Amino acid sequence: MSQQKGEIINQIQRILEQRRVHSYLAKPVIPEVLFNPDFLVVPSLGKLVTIKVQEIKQPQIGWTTTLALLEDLFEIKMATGGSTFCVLIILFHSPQFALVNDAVRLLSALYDQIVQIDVTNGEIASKLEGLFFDIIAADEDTRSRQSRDFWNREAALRHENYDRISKISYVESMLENVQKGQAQHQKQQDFRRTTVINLLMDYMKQRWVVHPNIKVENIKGYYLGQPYYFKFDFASTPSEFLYGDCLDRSLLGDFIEQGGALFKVLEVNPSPSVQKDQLRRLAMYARFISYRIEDANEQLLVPRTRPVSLFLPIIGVLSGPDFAPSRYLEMLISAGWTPGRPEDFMAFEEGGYEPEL
Amino acid sequence: MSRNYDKEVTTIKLILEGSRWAYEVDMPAVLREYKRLLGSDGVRDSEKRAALLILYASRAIDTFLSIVVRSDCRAKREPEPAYSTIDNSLKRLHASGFLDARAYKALTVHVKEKRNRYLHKADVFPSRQELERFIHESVDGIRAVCRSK
Repeated sequence: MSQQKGEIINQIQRILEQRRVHSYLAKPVIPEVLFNPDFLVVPSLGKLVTIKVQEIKQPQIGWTTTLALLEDLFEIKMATGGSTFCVLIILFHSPQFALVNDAVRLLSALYDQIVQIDVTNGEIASKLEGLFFDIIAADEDTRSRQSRDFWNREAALRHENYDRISKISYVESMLENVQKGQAQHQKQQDFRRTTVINLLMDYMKQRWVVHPNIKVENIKGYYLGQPYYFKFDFASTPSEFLYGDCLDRSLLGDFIEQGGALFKVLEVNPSPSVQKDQLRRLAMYARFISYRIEDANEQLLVPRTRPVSLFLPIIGVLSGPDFAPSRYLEMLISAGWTPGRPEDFMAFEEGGYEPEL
Repeated sequence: MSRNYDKEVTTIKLILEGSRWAYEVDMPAVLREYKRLLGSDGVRDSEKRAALLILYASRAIDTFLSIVVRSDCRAKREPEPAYSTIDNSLKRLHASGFLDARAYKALTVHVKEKRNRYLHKADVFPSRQELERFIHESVDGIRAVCRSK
């Protein structure tokens, strides 16, 4: 933690103590949340607030960080309930920091409250005092019904996805590897990401139509008013489907109905922090294409009736911390991914593509 | 030395205080039970301490589940049960959608059945790992109810 972030955390703690909130806890532990918030606050009985402080040293916030912060939000809401009031404090160091750009707009649309603080000037105390009043006033009624419905639907979707976990053999094989004492980042030495992508595409081409480097429109655009795309390594469809490298929103429904699948190859990274950022980003990929806009006028987001087939061939053994080795896989599966070894995805069955997972 | 479950139990106390059941009459009793659990360090005898921890964690989740059951009965204008056992509460909360299948199974296997074993069978005490797992699973079950809609 940087010195500035540490000072801000101390200031928040002082304010919470001075203002005598009902109770608060610094560094709470919610095991199913990968990055726990910095504070859990109960301003008064029946209200739960989380505060997360994120320091940004670049002049603007990048998409990797943005998606990671959104995944943190999804995990907190799913662990404590959609009614939890989630606050994000962004600390920035540059006077040129982009206070408003699409990344900040997206965070503002989903977090219940965002506070941006320039640590180089003297506005910190007043901003934090203002935040305190927002926390006291935090009230579920002030949030739109759409927002509440969204979190309820996300919880239902998560449960459905989670129920698949016992059917995915990669989880079991990972646990066996961990028991044997194999390192978390041990790789299948002969394989590199591009090699695996090419091998898989060659295999798929025997029976399916393969579309490399496909971009898929997601619901980021719903919040930002212009289309946004996530990149996948390739897509597969039973017949010619796409002319170009874009799968926009209007085509995605048909793509799913026709049995199309999206592939992203993950190479296990030896650096835990890089790995966690990668996983959080991947989880958001899945979450953001699991929804469709049902009513253009009401702009209502609903989960797709038939889920998108999202396949994640993994190079290496993806295991979490010792106390919860399947932690990362659970996160990806509950978001909608189907992980497996690369060879698991090289199997055809009559009538459709069903990898032997 | 800090135990693995201390921070998790402290966190669940706050989640309960911030939950929609925070104003229920029996909630302070649940919170006091967790306070006792956290303060059990003073008991030197490890078997006695294990027995107390099982007792505190069990009574906390039993009472919490019965709070949710009674509150649900009131919301649905149904008669409240005269008394509730953990088994009845789990079944009812599963049927009402407060507990998904996974949480229901985990609470049944890791909390209800273990609790019965440790509290009703003479001379049986959990190992440190079993004890920590028991506390973790009971707290996890409470979170599962709290996050339901």
